[in-house]
Amino acid sequence: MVLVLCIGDLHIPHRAPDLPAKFKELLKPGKIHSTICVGNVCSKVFLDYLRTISGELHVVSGDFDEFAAPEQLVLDIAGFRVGVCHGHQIVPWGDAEAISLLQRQMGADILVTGNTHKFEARKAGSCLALNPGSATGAFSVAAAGTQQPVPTPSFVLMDLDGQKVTVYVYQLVDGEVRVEKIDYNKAA
Amino acid sequence: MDSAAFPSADEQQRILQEASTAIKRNAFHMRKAIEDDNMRDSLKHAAAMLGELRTSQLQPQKYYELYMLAFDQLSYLESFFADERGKGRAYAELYELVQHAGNVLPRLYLMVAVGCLYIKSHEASPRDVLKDLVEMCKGVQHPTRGLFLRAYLCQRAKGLLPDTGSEFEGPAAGSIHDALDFLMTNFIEMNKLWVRLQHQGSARDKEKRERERQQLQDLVGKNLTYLSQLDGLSFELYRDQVLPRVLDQITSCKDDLAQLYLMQALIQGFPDRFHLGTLESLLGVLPQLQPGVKVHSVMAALMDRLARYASSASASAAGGGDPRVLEELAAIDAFTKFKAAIAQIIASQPNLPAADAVEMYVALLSYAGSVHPGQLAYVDEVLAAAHAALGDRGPGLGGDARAERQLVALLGVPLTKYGVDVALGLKEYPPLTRLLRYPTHKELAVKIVQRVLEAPPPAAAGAAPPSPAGAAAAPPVSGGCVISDVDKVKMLFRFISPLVADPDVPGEAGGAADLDDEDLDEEQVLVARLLHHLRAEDPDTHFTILSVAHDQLLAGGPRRLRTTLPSLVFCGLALHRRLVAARAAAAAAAGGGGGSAAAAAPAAGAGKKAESKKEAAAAKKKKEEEDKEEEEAKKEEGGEEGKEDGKAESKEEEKAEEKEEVPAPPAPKEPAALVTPPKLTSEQLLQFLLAAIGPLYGGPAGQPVTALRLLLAAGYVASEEARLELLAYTFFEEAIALYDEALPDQRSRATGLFDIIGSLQRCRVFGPEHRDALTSAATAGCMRLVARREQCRALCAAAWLWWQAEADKAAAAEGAGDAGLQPPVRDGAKVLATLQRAAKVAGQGKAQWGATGRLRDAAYIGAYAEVIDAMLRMWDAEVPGIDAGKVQALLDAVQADIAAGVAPDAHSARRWASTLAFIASQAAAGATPAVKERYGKLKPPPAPAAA
Amino acid sequence: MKNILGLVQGATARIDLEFKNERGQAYKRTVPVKAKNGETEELPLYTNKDDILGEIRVTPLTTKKFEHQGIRVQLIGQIELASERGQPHDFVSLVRELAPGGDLSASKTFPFEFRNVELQYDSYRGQQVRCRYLLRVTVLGKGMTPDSKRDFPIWVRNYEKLHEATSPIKMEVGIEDCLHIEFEYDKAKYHLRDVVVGKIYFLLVRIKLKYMEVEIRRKETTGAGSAAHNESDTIAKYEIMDGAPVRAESIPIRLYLSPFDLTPTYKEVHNKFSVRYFLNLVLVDEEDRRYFKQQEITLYRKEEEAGAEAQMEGAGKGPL
Repeated sequence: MVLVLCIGDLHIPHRAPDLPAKFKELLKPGKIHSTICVGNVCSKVFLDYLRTISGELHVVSGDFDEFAAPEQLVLDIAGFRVGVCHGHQIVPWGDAEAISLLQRQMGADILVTGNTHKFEARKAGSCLALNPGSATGAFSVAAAGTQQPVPTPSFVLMDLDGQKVTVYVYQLVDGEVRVEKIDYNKAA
Repeated sequence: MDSAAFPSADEQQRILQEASTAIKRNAFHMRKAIEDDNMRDSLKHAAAMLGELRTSQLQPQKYYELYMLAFDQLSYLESFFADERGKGRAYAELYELVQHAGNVLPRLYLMVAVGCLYIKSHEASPRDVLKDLVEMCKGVQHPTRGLFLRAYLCQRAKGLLPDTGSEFEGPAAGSIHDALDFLMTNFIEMNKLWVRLQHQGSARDKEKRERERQQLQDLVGKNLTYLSQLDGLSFELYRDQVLPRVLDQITSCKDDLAQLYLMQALIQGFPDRFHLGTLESLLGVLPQLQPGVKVHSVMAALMDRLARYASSASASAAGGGDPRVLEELAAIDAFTKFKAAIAQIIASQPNLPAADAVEMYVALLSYAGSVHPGQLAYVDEVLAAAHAALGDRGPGLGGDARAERQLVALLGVPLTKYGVDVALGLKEYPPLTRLLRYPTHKELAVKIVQRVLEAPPPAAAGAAPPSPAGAAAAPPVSGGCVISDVDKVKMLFRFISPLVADPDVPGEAGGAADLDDEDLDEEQVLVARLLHHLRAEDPDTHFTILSVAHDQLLAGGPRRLRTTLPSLVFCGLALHRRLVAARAAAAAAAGGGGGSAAAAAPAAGAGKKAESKKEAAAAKKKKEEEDKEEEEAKKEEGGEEGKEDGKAESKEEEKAEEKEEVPAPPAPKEPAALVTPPKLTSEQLLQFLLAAIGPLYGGPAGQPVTALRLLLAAGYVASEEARLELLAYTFFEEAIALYDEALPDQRSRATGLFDIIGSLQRCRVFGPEHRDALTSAATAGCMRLVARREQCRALCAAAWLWWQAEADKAAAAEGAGDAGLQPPVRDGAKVLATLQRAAKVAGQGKAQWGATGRLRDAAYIGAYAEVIDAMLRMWDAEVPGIDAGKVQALLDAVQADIAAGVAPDAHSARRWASTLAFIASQAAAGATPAVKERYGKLKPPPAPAAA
Repeated sequence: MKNILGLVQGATARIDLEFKNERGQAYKRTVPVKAKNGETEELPLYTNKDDILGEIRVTPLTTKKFEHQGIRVQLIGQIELASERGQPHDFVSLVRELAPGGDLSASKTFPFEFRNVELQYDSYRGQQVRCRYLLRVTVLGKGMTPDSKRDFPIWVRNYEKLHEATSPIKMEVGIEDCLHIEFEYDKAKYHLRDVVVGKIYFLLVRIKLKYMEVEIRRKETTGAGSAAHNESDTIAKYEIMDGAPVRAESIPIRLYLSPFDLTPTYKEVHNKFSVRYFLNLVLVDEEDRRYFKQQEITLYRKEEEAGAEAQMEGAGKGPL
């Protein structure tokens, strides 16, 4: 059983001043095994902050990141091949087919992407595509003219257990943290 | 012997040992004589035992040990005396008998012992005995010995005073006045002895001696403690009898240590309400104290004391406490008295360290906070007074670091006490900050910013948001407070000026020039984060705020702009989104009361959303709100006029709230308030942003990569939200120019290109002309990438430029419809042409491999796979012109090469294998029969075993 | 012991004396008197004009017939100066003949009385002078039989009646620019169980004092004029201050006289001697230099004291 935090698109300081305090309370060091960040942290301070949450931080670079990080990562965690990519490179943005193509190309069981600032978990065959959304609910360019102009702050916690993934989605709605749980079985 | 220093510590220990032994020996004989009922010998040995206390060789601490030893033994004697009385010997007789002792110190200890029993027995008048004892003790003039003797007296007599209501009170026995007299006299005598201690010994040991004296201070203070514990001590007695005498003693003793200690003992020892009634006397004495006395700490202690009194009184007022305290404090205008006293102290002590002066103002400030909560005028007064007192000490308070720290503490008080938002109303704050050195002011500024960022959100504290604007307009905020008033924003920038600008004193350290990029960035990130907290619900006000912020940031110079401008731009973009919503709402409302349901929908939707938030925040008010909602619904139906009223009303409420300076519960949200369209236009805002991004293109503030992204984001917003083709075009044009000219390396060029393509792909504002210009520039950009594989990937992405998603029907229903937009571009021929161009690039890669034969050039296989993948996706998207044959042709070409022995690198091989596997899986188990059928038409080569 | 002495002197009769009161009972008024050898003896106590009554018993020490030329008792008051040892000066000498010459076969008792005698001076034992009273019983020997003689000392104390009030002793003394004090004793004349109450007020202190004490000094003067001889004696030392006072301090004095072995002041006793008392205020500085001021006081024996022998009489004059 391995707890993996998936988080990204903080956009601090560009688009948000800070992580929600309630998230900070939840993300106390010592609970989480490793952290996957899909990029767009944007400031060194918060990159350092992410490092404090768990023992290891895997980070890819977003379009607004200035620190040196790879564009893509493939990780082996608890029997899963986990691909990480910010996703601004995917045209059209957030396109499901494009994402599963990327997943295929990376050979990943789980692909974690960001960019859209909208939580998503999608099963495609034996694959899981995850988007933890924006942890700060940062302004999203792509949300222009859509139904949800103001993104909901969210992050995801994956509990990887051999064949099984449990995805916990943490969302901040009206000032309260809501948690949803999604089960996903690799064998299925 | 007295004038010499004490012997060494070892020697003292030895003396103490010897004396202790002697005390024990004499005590033994004394107790034996007591057993034998031999009064004469008992007294003789007791006197001998007490005689050991005549030593001058021990410093106070060691002397105390000796004293305690003898003290314990005296209790045997006391009970013996009590027994003797039982046998008929009068205390009067004993009282004389003990006075036959030849040495004064033992004699007085014995007198005290007997005298107290004498009082206790009611044989003698407490008044007379006490008077006699306190007078006779004058026989011991040696400071240490006298202090301990009188401490013994005071300790023994404590319960025997003719206090009001005690058994020792009576016409002959004495009254509270006698009790007061006794303690006062003993206090005065002890203080004199204590003060005199400083003249013992040589000047060389002065410091050590002062430390020793300090150890004795509580002996003196005990008298005041007992005084304060007298039941009969009324306020009038305190005011008329005690205080004047204590103060006289304090001023006349002219001793630094004593004055400080006694003032503090006085302040801490007596009840708050006594101080309340004698404030003037207390304050009046302060300027008369010795120059070396830390008057400021006395002053501070007094103010703290009364501040605590006030706050505890007001806190307990609800629970039956005394609500009059605050009134009383206000009635005597304690604040003004304190302020005047501080000024007088500062004026009368030219050598008073600035830090000490500031300390007093800190205390005054917290006093004002407790006694006059929420009244900023008092705070401003304190700050002005502090400035007046310190202004002439020069910048950085003449380099006095301690004073500076104190000043920072002073400046911190309003922030913690009232919060930054309220503190921004303090006009006297910025001038005072100017007295700090630049780096210190900067530290303070950092704290201020952090408070804005991190102050607990008012909602969490159970209170309402600071302004009706805050919550509704905000993206969900992490915490902290929102500054929504233009003047306050301006003020804030004055508060934190060292973070936004270099020192205005030439040559002062700490400016941008003194920091490396990383440090400066770290500092400016704070400012950048702060920008998100400066906003107003009303877009016009918000825009003004952003303009103010922009001007401030520009003044800070290019190196700061690097970090801060992107945030400003995004604040602007977020504002734009709200602006559009506001305009749409206004337009929909203006469109006609009961008219087009579709047009009215968004406004109603937005209103509902905001309201639901409000309801959550103020559930209590729900009922009220519902009532109001009804009213508002009526107003909406009533049309323009009603809405105007609503607007006016809300403005008035805002003003009223500002006046009060207290966050009031928000007015129920007024959808009508949004109806009047904002004066701000998208053009204005976007022009502002265009200008704002400018400095990032290059030069000292140059952040071309970021600038490119900002331009694309703004361009996208201009297209999809503002729907202003020319402005959108300008943003993209600038972005592409920047891509062409300023991107530093291949990697950023590659990713930048994808961003251009990604943004452009979704833009629908452009007419064919502009669109062609931009798309061809983008495809041209693809070809300018160096690596063929990159070219290939980019072209595959660029193919989507001609295949836009169908219009979002849901979005259209929400009102963000297609007005002002072009229909989606879906041009199969262009898609195919672009993919073929990509295939051609892959082919060029093959030729290159043929020329070099290098393994790495065999990566063209991967490029082919890229093209095939892209084509398959287009095929899935049913782009006209893409068919099985075209896919198959590419598959065959690659297969032929592999069969001919081309061994691609691992990455390309994997890529190729995954493509083949995908085709196979789709043909075998596609999601729909159509997919299965389509993929079934392909004849993929068998997947390579190596994969 | 006395018998043995008697034998050595060749006494042949034993002489005893018993003091009686008017009712013929044993005389109870006695006083402990310290002798030079340190022992204390109880002596009968009389006052001027008292009647001295008693019985004298003469017991022959021989079995032979005891013959004498007469038995008499003398009351002698004498002053004896150390400088004139052996030549006491009798200022009183009264004789009562108890029996004419004759013989005495057995022990015989003779009552005697001296009525309304002049016991003008107090008994006094000083350093170089003593004033004493004694009853001397003499059995005059006859023929070969020596005189038998024995002395019986009595102690005389005289009391003064209510004394007129005296003004306090008040004085300012000092050493220029060094030490100025003002001291005050409440009276100039004290009775023997009195309390000296006073205070020292420091006007100027430029020296570091260590302590201050009051001494009671007695001065015996014998002789007169150029031949006068003085002998001083410190009877008591009483510390009244510990440590160094500063200007404007006032130090209280309360000195009980009762514990000390004092006599009244005697002036020109029979033109032979005087005994005078002084209070000596001594200030000692840290270098053990002594500064003092001596002030004569008059002591007297107070009338009331005689009856009650009240030890606590001083307390009445005390602070309470």
